[in-house]
Amino acid sequence: MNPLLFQAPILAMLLCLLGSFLCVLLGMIMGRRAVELLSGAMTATTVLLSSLALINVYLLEGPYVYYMGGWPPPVGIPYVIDRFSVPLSLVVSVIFFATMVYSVRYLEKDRDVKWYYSLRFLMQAGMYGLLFTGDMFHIFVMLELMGLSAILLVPFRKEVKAAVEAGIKYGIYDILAISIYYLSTAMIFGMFGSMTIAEISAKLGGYVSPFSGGMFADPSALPVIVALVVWSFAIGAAIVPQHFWLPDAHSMAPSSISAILSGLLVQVNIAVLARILYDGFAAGSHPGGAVGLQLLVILGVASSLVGASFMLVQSDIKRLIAYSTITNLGFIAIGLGVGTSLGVSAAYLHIVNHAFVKASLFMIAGVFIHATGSREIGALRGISKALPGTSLLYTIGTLAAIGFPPLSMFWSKLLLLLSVLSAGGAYQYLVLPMVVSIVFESIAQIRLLAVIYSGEKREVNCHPSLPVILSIGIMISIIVVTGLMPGLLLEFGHLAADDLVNVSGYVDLVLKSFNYPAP
Amino acid sequence: MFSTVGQLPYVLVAIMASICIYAALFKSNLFKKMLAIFLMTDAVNLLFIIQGYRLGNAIPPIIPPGMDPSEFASIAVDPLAHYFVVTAVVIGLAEVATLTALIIYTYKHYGTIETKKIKELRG
Repeated sequence: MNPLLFQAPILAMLLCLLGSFLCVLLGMIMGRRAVELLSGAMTATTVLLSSLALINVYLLEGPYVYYMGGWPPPVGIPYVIDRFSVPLSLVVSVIFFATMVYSVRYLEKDRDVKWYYSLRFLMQAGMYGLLFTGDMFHIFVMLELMGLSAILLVPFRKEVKAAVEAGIKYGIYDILAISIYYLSTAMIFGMFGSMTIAEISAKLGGYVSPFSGGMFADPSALPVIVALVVWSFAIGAAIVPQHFWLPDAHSMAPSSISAILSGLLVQVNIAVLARILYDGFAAGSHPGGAVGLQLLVILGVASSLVGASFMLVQSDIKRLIAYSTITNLGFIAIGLGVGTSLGVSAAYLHIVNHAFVKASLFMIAGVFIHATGSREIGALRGISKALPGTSLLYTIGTLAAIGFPPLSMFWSKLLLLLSVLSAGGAYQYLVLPMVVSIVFESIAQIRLLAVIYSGEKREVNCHPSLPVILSIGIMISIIVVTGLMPGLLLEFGHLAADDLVNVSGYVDLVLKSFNYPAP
Repeated sequence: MFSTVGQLPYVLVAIMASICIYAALFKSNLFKKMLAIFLMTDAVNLLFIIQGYRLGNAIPPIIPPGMDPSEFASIAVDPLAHYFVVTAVVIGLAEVATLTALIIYTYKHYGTIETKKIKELRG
């Protein structure tokens, strides 16, 4: 295999770690223009590398495992480059690139931007690590990498009182969540004697490892571990009742960071949870792991209802979008929890579509807030006459968010409803709360659109510059184009769901194919 | 598989972790919340060490010169647990730095670190 293609995903991650260091160094020696150029070039390279990895996995070689340092599991850390993780890593790269272009002009008036770009790179590296890794303890390390940089980026404008408060709130709960996850890794170590996700599910099926032997303890206590893992990731993914930090953190962060937090961070959390539940605890076949899926469904229904009803009473545009994130995370949790192949692929598509939609909505909200100097929805009256282009982009984004055909989120919401209906049993009644939350969300979003298009032409502080519009345009065009090609989307979703749900295939891939160094 | 150290250390870890989770959620002083989270991490570190330890004539996981590897593996304590703890301690340092910085800024803005008195956001 071509060594560049083989190592592309890992190179993207290493580039981010290197970039984080170089940003601070260059910022001290040469000033902000050099930092912006460097991080722009490096983020563009990560997009390129992720696309190479996507081409490699889909068209050339198929899924493979990269053993860090050449050590096989359970001694080393396997990076699983499969059809579930690689498209998500491309989404991460594209959104980081778009917000990079956006932040250059958005943060013009802020000082010390070198720390901003440095922390952004650390967060990106953490996301790649979380998506690819096949090791429970490595997930803990990467959660810290992603979480700590996000915690520090929320109060980036540290002179704003409420931003610091949102930061400390987010910090306490996110680090508590990671500590709870750490507790669950200790229990997994005690029960399985191994931290490799593939070995955990193999040992549940009776496998005896040449390195760590069989199970150390009876798996009847597995539901406790599953509950701890779901709890910790539910805080990270802001699923009700652990959602309270999200509206504060996502609305008080700079808009370029809100886009990343809302578009990527929570979805990465839930994607990792899916990986652990399906491939680690064998949720499809083992009763202990299936507890996690039932928890996800219950919490998901609560999440979608609570998020949608809180959307109706918001008067702050960024808080409204943040509550919409909670609603959609609820939908994703329902799709993953239903557990059928259709449900998982629908949830996967919803993760991808929601990432682009939510990131672009937050970026445009940032433009509106700069233009009006206020976050209140009432202050947006008449903005469509002052900023017609931006308002049009916002309209497309909102229509996608409420699932207007043929934009991208229509297809994933339709698939989610279909998967719930076809799951049978008690699950088919879930369609009722889902439809209610979709209706509530649409009412809130359309009310916001009505405010934007009402009123007389108003004065604005500033017009968005070309790079800002360009970066938003990239995101909106992705939403439109993916919406026009539902067949391709479905194909991606099915393949990803296959790789996720097929536990024996995953175990074979990680434990048997020892193909390093590349032939 | 390993002959470990009986039930009592596990009970102690469970009590410690429960108290810490309670304190982190319900104490209103930010600094106490932070301390609770780090004590929680330490409780888990203890759990790792206990799980890796074995009673009897156990030796540290450093292979003495001339010893047969399989004999070494049958009496040494588990080095993997130590690796996890060292990593977690280093990460804990970053957590302390992050949260302390945020608490200092909170104090600068509000003049207090009691969460009950900080009510700018609606939650």
